[in-house]
Amino acid sequence: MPRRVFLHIGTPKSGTTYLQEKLARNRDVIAAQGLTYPVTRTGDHFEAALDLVDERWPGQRDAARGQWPALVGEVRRASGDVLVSHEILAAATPAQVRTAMAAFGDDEVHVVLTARDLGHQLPAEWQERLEHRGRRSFGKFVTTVSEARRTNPDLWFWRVQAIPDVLTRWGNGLPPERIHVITVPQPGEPQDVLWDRMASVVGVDPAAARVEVTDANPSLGIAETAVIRRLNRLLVGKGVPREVYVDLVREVIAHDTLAGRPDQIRAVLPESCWPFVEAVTAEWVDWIEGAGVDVVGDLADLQPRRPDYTDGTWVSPDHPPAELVADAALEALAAVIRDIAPTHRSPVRRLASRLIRG
Amino acid sequence: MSPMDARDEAAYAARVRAWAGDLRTGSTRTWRDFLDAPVTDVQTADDGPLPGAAQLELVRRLAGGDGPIPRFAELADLVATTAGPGRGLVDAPLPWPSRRTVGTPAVEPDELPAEELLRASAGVLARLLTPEAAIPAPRRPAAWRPWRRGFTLLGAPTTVELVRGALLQRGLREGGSRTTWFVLGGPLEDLMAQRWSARVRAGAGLRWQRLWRTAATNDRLPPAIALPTIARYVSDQFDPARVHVVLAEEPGQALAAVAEVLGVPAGTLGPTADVLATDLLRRVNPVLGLAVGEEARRRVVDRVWPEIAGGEPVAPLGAPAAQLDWAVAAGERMADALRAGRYAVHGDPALVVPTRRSDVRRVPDPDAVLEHALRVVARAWQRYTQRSTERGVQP
Amino acid sequence: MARKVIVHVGAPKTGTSFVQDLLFGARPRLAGMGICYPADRFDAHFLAALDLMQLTWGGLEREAGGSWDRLAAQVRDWPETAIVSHEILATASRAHVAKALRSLSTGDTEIHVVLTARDLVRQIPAEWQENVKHRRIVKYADFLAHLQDPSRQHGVASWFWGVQEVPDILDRWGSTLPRERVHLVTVPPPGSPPDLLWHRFAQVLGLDPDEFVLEDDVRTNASLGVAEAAVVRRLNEQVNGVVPNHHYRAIVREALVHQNLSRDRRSARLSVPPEVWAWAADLSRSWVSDLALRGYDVVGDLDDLLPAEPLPWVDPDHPDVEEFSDTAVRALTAMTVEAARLRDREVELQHDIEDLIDKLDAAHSTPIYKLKQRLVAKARTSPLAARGLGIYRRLRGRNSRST
Repeated sequence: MPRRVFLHIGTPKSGTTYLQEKLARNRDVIAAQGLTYPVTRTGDHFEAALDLVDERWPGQRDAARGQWPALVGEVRRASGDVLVSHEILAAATPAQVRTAMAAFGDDEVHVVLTARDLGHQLPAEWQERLEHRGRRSFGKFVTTVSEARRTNPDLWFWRVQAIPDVLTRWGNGLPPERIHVITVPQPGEPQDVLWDRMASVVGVDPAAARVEVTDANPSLGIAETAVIRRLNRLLVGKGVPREVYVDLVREVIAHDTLAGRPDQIRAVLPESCWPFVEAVTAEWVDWIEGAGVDVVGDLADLQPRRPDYTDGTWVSPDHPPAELVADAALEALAAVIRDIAPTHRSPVRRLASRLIRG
Repeated sequence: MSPMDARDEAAYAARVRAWAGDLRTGSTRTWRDFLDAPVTDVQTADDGPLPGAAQLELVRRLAGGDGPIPRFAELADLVATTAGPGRGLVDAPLPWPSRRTVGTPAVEPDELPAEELLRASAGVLARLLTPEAAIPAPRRPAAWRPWRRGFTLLGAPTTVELVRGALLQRGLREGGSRTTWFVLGGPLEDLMAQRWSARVRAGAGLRWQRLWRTAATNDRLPPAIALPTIARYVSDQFDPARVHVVLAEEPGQALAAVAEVLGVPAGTLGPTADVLATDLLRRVNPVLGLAVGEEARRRVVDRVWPEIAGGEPVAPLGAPAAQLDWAVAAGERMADALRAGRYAVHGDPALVVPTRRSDVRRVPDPDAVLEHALRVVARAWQRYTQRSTERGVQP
Repeated sequence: MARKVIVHVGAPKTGTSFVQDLLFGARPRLAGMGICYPADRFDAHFLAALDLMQLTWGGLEREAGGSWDRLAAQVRDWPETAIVSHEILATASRAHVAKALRSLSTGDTEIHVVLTARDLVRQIPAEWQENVKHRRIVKYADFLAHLQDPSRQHGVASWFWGVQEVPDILDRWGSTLPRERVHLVTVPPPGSPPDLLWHRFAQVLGLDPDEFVLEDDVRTNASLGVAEAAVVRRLNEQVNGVVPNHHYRAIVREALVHQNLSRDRRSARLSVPPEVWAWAADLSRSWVSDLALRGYDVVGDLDDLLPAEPLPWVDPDHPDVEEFSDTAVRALTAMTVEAARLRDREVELQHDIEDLIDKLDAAHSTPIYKLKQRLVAKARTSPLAARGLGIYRRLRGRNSRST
């Protein structure tokens, strides 16, 4: 019986980091169950995906050259089922998809897509941009994205988030029962529901993966993102290189400091977006039902939960309360100063001394 | 309002010097009482700057101390002419009928806060200890007897020093390739107190509260007293069978346990970290360091301080209230880690968890430190006069 | 002719660093004119003052041992005029003053004491700022309350008055000197020509002010605005106990405050609330009356010590939130850029280390080679090692997977 190759191709911000962490930390027990999650030099499949998709990714595209064939080699070497997972694979053009599929010619290829409601995805993608030096306001982002729906479907957001488009590209030539849409449960459900669903698709006992994963990529509140956005604007032209930005802004400020703040106000779409978002969702749900693909979970999960805009609790993501922004900025400032005061030895030196000791 | 006129100023100065003269004789009359007494022609000290209120009050308290101090008048002169070091009230005048409008307001000397008197004491102690710097450090004899049993002690610094001394006296040797490792510990507050004492002896001026605040803020105990980490490292590097964690309330118990493992008789030991002595030393350190340099300060403290400042039975200090919750959590984490270790543990790990009892002092009491300072000054004075007699020099 | 020693004892925040920088830079020229400013480093007199007054100063006192005696010896050895200048000398007790004056004199020395003084209302916010720049977290309202407490029990108050109470400073330093040798130089009110203070000071020193011009890279002590001061104070609350003093000095005080926030003040100047202004004005008036009777040599005008019209009062404990967050983000940006600068240096250092390792890397059996092998092996599984390997590879400029 041909073995199965699962390609988990996206969507970004649908819990993919959580799943990849879970797979990485439970690699051995999963392998014992007959599923290989291939090891790479960076730990995840980002470089391989980047190599295939050939996107301009500042500083890293060159380093990633050759990583897709390398990953394919790992897949071929493995016996039993294999799972490849990275969410930027969703951006692949039809030609790139053909390249990918050709590599797995003899295997039974399955395409897996985790999908989340648009009410979550829009703010999440906006935040992701901000953590990559983005400077656009939420309002502008939403306007650009919604206008591009008809005029420019190649815009990154739609390229990776539009479920029918992604699955049409990736599912070309595959029977619908080999295309799996896993819905991400709405907030309130325990996080391992998502893992259970993935496990059921790839044929693994979810309970076997005992190592827990803490929230791998927590989202920030609107006060916190405001700090990042303002910082990005002031950093223009200051010549801060990518490595420092990633380490300081994404890691120290966003991940280590701001993410842990209590009582953050989540970014929620404004009322005016709602008809658009509901219409697009309805379109997608129709398509999924019509296409006959395997739905794991519940399509109702893809319905964005409309908040009560009349009770005065909605805050525009572009106008967070000034005191919260001030507090967040101060915490970030303190964190940066603690970081650059070398009270601890740098990670490279720590590692070096550990290795020299043997 | 005009400043005090010159005649009034002169009368004030004369009266202050007269009181200083009175105190020189060992009198314990307060300024208030002295002012009430009739003016007599008392021999006054020299005509340098007026002695400060804190200095004079310190003399008065020394006179009222435990026992008579030999050559008291000379000590009084020394104290009266020692400037108050560092920060504090600048030249607080003594109360006098005419009001001053400029300068630090007048304070009754016996109402000065303990902190001010401690500041004056630090200056005096530094001055008394300065001549000790000239004395070279004693050389420790290093006898190499490789056939003796080897031990290595880690953990609570003061307990380690005391037990080490006792074992060396028994003829055991330290270290070696077949050494038995001991990690000594006790209640977390005691570990921190010993750590504090070690750091202050090494020259730090930090307060008890700050030691805890830093640890809690960084959520990290000082590495030297992180017992499970030390024990685990040593077990991983060497043989867990030769690693013993010893938890005890007092160093005597620690010595007993260690001695039992090594198969030697135990003996008795003195008390561990004295929080009053440490709080006093942290004030003396900067003044003494400026006077004789850091190296000499270290030598003097190592040699002289335990003699003049140690030995007082003092209730142990608890964790400061602001860090108490963190301390209990850290203690419980340590106890769990010790229970889970592969090494032998003597004593109950629950011992390390700090107490929440409300009758425990959680910061050093300045009045208690001051009381102790008076004793230490008296002892330091004794050494000082002995040294100067030996050198044939006037103090 | 008698030797002359001029001791400039303060006050802080009256432009003393300007004078000290000028003197330090002009030492050779001054020596040629018979004037000695004995300093082998720019902070020599600061350390000497710490030593004399037995003060701690965030660890800097460790370098101060013996420096007063050395300074005094140089002064005594100089046959003509010597100048000593540091503003913390203002708060010396009479006992320390006696020791200082004694140690600076030989048999026939003429000692002069100089105090530059500015009106109290400008000094109060300036001193609070100094506190904040030295890691203190005391709020302005509390600071003002401590100052107004007549007992001066709080350390903040005893220090402030020690260095700013003009009549008392002159009394402590000058009580054993003839009045004509005690000089009070008043700082002219805002709006006066900028070099007027220097002219007045030069007069006391016996120098022609126009002969001395300051170089460009002088230490500027520009002030912080309300929002900037609030940000630094709040920052102190967060980093005290976590960042050691030497890093605080380099990063917060130097890089953040002096290089960035002071140079880009956007918020209102620090001032005092109306009731404090009134209280300070009363106090200043009583000082001026007191000083007028003393007979000191006043260079300038005693009325300069009376406060000018108050600036609009903006409370730094409750700054405008928008201004505060703007300032915090600007500070954040400045520190991010600083981090980039520091990493560049670290990369340079690592380059140098790489070169050294290469030179030592003779045979395959060296520990270094084994280290590299292990690093590569570890990098397959450990993300931290991979990051180290990534940096290593970047530094080596290689893309291949072999070592």
